[in-house]
Amino acid sequence: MTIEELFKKANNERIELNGHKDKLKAVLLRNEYFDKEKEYWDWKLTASSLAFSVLLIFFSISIVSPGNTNQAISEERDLYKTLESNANVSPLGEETFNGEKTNVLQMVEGGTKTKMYFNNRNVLVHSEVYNNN
Amino acid sequence: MDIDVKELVEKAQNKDRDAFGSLFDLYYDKVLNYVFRRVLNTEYAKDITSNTFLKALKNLDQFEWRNGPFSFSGWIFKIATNEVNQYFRKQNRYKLTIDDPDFKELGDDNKVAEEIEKKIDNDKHLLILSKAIKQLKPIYQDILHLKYFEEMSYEEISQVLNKNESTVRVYSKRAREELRTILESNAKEFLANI
Repeated sequence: MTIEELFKKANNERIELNGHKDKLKAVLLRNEYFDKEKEYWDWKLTASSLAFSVLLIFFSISIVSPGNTNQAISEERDLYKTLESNANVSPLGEETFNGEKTNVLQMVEGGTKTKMYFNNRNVLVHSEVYNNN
Repeated sequence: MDIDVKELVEKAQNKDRDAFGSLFDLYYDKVLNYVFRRVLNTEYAKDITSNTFLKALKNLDQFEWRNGPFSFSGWIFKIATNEVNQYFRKQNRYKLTIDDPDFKELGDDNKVAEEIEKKIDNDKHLLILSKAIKQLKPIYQDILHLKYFEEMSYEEISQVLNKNESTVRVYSKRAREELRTILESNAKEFLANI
């Protein structure tokens, strides 16, 4: 008998476990996988969130540079004014951040919300980005 | 009627239960028999098959159809092969990962399992062959099972095992030669003991 013939004979010996098959299928079809939304990678939203974060980081870095402090504060105030007049931005009122009273502005763009906290000199002290999708 | 596996996979990835159910029906027996021939134990064959399908379901979103018509079967067999190799490493510590009390309840399957093991014990071909294959290197075992039991092409096997096709061909030739030597030696021992 050749090896191929031996494999063929052995291959005829197949098993069936219908009870296990039915139970396993039922368990798998009840799995939470089917209740979750399909996860999409939304490049547009990610890119816009990322771009805005980069902008905020740039402003934060320019604040800590001692030579440019006055200019940075003035730019921060400009940022506040620019945002305040933006149609996508709405004021959320006052909130305390790190023990300091802040004015909170919220910008909504697509499914992304960005909360920005400005101190009483209208300098950005903190921001949070939420992706709703 | 030809079943469009690609379409079923896409539907299942969009959370279509019926589509996943059809994929399960299509591959359950193949996976179960592949696993059983590897481990020769009904209980572990059930656990490994269950873990294979659960893993497939949980990772279905990450599956991409990029290796031609055998993409999905290659992927399922890759998961099953990994589970089998994990079983060989862990042996009695290998555990079922489905945490569902209804599923764990032992039913009529116990009787069926006993009958299957008796039947396999009487039909010596599978036993002789599987025991001889178990003496080979793990990669040779994978190749012989996929090539001769699952009747996969070298291209498919290379996808399942993440190996170059020419490497699979070389390994397959060596695996066959080593298997022949083991079978001949076992036959001599058997005859000497009569």
